[in-house]
Formats: sequence, C-alpha cells, structure tokens
Amino acid sequence: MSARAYAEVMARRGAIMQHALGLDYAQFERDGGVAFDYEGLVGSPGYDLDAVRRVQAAFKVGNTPLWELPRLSRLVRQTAKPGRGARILIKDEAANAAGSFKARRASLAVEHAADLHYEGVVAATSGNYGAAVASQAAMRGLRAIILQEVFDSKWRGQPEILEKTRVCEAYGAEVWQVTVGPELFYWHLITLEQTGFFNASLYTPYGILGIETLGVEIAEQCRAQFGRDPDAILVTHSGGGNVTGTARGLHRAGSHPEIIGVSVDLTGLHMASDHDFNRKSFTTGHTGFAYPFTVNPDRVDVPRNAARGLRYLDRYVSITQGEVFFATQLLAELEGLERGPAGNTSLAAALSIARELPEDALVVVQETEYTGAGKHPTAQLTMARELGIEVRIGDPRDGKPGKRIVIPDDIDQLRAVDIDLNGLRRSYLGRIADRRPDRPLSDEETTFLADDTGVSRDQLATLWDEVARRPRARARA
Amino acid sequence: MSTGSRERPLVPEGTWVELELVLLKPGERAPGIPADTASVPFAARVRGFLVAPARLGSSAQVRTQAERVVAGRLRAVLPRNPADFGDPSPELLQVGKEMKRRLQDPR
Repeated sequence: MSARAYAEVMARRGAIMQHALGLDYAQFERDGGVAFDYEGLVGSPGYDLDAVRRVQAAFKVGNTPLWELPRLSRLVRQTAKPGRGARILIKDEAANAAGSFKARRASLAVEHAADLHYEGVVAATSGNYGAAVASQAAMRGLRAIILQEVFDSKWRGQPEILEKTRVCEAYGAEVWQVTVGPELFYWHLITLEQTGFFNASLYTPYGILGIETLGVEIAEQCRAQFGRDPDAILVTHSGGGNVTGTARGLHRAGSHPEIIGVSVDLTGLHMASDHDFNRKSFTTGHTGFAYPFTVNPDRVDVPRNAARGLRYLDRYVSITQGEVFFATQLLAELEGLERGPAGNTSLAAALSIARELPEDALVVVQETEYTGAGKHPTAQLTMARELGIEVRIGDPRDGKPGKRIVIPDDIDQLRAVDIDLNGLRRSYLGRIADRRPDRPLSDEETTFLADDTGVSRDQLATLWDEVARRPRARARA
Repeated sequence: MSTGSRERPLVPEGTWVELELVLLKPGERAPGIPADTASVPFAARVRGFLVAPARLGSSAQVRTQAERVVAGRLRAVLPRNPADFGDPSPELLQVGKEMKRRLQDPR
C-alpha cells in the first residue's frame, strides 16, 4: 500500500498528532482505557485567567458587549402568563476579530503554536473557527492552512461554507475545499505530516480555556449592568466546546445559572451523505453533530477531547430550522442587529424559554456571529428551494429536515423541545459497556463516568445498571 | 470546464488560479461511509499563484498563500466565489412585518 492509502495514514495518526500538538496525552490516561484525568488535561496550559485575558486583549478578542433585547423581551411577554417573560440579553460575540466567539478559542491555540515555534497552523473546520485561526495566525505572521467540507459530488457548494472559504482567504490562509466525507480528517493528517505545522484543533485544552473568558464576562457584565447574576444561559451546542468553556468560565466567576444547550433539529439527515449534505440549512449547532459528539466526545482530531458537553449541560433542547430563521429576522427587524445563524439558534430557544421564566429573570444568549453572503437565511432558503425543499409559513412542528422548512407565523409558536439527557447518557455509557462486557466499573471509573455525564455516583450506578442489562446490540441505539 | 486544452491559451505564471484534484478514488475511501458518498471520489479545490504557464484543463502547480507548491488540474483563472444572498424570502418579510405590528398593537 502507498504511504497515502487511507488505512496507512490512519494507522499513523497517533504519531502525527503527537508531533502536531506538542502535548503528550498519554500522561492523562488512567488504567482500563475509560477514565482519564480531565482536570489535569484542561488545566495543562500554563495560563491563568488573567494571562488568557491579556493574550486575548492583545489579539483583538474579548470584552464584547452584552446587550439587552427589550423589544423581543416585550414581544415574548405579550404571549406569556402574567408576571412571566424574562429579560433577554445577547452577548455580541460578532465584535471579536474574525466575527465570532471562535476567536477566543483560536487566540490561545495560535498563541500556543507561536510559543512552541511552529511555522504555521492547520485547522480542519468548515465553520467560523477557520476564520478565527486564519485571523489569529495573520496577526502573528504565522502561516495558516484551513481544510473545509464545502461541496457535494456535483460541486454544489454549501453557501455558508463558500463564504467561510472567502473569509479565510481574506485573512491570507491557504484553503482546501473538499467534497463530503469523513476523509477530511485523513487529509488533515496528511497536511500535518507534510508541513509539520501545529494542529489548531477545536478540542485541545487551549480551545476550551479560551472560551472561559466568555463565561466570566457574562457573570461580570450581568452584575455590573443588571445588578444580579444570570438565571439561564443558552448555548448553541454542537461539538461541546461552547458549552464546556462557557460553563467553566461562569463557575470560575462564582455564577451558577442553568446551562441550556440548544441544537437545530436535523433528525433524519445523514452528515456523511453526499445526497443529504446540501439539504440542511445549518452547517453547525445542529443535532447531526451534537448527538454523536455528546455521546462520544472523543470522536475528534485529538486523543482526548477537552470539550465534554454532558459534564456541564443542565438542560438540552432542540429548535427547528424555520424557528431559527424567524428569530434571525426578528433580531434584525425589532432589535436592529443583523447577525449570522449560530447565535440565533440559542436566540430562538430563548424566545421560547423566556416565556416560562419570571419577568425579572435574566436569560443570556451567549453569542452572535457575523453575517454575510451565504450565511444569511435568504441564501439558505434559496438553496433549499432549488433542491426541492418546501418552504412555507405555518406551525414549525410540521417541518421535516431535508423535506420542509416551516417558518412560524407568530412568536407564540416558538417551542424549544426538551431532549432527554438521560437518553444521551445511556448512549454514552452503552458504547463503553459494549467494549467491556461483564466487567464491573472500578471506583475510579465510576467517579470519572459520573463527572463525565454530569450526574452523581448514585445516579451513574443506576444508569450503568440499565445499560449493562440491555442486550449489547441495542445499548448503542 | 471543457476539455481540448490544446486550443486554450497559456495562462501566465503568477496568475491567481484554482486547481482541482482527486484525493481518494471511490474504491479508496474510508470504510463505513454511506453508499452515495462511497461511490464518488473524495476531491478538492485549492487556489494559489501559478508556478509556470499552463493551460486550463491541464496539469499545473500553484504556490499557495501558505507558500506551498501544490499540483492539480487547472480549473479556473481568477475564480469567483459564488456565495451570495440568494432571493428575498417573502415568508420572512411577512413575519417581520407581522411581529412589528403585534409589538405596537398587542392582541
């Protein structure tokens, strides 16, 4: 087989990664292959919070405004019971260099690459993170290579990712646009091997530590501007980094609001399908990424993922594509903020959840992102129609990913749908149980799995019993 | 892009161009991927400055923005990024108007 054959390259992944990360993950592993020292991993970067803030301030990141959305809050109150309808706030992360919160992650990853004297950085990402890495690399004179999944096999490009190609090139990066498939990771490995560049993965401890300032800022700004701590934080949830870093930052600041993850419901569409690829109107923050990442966080481009959603999620909800488009339109027309899709996913859920909460409660939508050609609802709806997807106004419950997008006709139709976190925990545990039939958990493994799924040791024991008793083939369902 | 590269004029060295290349043929792809994806190549496009004069459709090399030399088939000269804002959405225009009206005049 040639050195570039798929299996050959994948067999070299451990060695390639170690060279490209400058971090030996083996030191954090514990006996048995299940547990690892999570706090040791996330605490491994040699930066305290002040140092992170200094780096970010020096590279045009952080201290973004926290705005109140009074007209949207008032609209929600019109459909709420008396005394209900929380104040909705939004953290305008579009103000970061490169236009999204991803600059927080990239700032530390690229700083670390510069400290270790790498000549350049590589990131395999179709999202804002690529722009953030390219922008942070540009500020330090490092070279950047960004790999993006852009096209189906007919070379039809996802509009949002075409825009990401443009913006990464605007920051001076070399951009590879590839067709649909998990082999993006294969090409990532080859690129790292060829260049010897740093792997600016989203999932390293640097990628998480950089977001902790976002959580800290929210706590500080709520206290300074509104005289109280936030009650609920809505986080668009995909790979888990946004939830993990934001929650850790809030906890660092001594604030413990409910952490609510939100994903766009793309049930039924296969993320690796050439046919389905362009039939989704969202490229991230959706269930197609969030479910697999949540139940198997280590399915990433580093040996252990520092982003672990289940550790921090108090509640997890989904919202439909049509509802997010509706929220995007209202943010522009009622609040005068035209922003990109990612933060509007959690905004759409906020418009539903705020209805349940008291009037004086603070609900924080913790990000916005820049918008532009391709990243706009009109671009996505145009593409959807071209592919035969029906677009209409009505009850968003009638939507079906890949077939029909239904835009609500009124704010009271918005409904965040709860996703059973215990179901996700069972799937997570089922994968582990499959690998080690009939072997009980050690004390260390029990503690690790309880922490990693966000439950007590007693709750973990109950969940583990349920999973271990199931027939093995079904435990993964 | 049509074939028949012989009649096409030479693109000068240093021109900003786009290359296309197949990274894995259908039989070489990752195991376990959906059949529709497995049946087509894993391919890529990348842009850079042309290293030596070449014709559209023929093999060429570019120097990328990361100062690397990459080889592939010359696909386009000064490639346009096709992302745009699409057509206006009558649905979104309508709901925006409705919600503004509702805010001013609660039911």
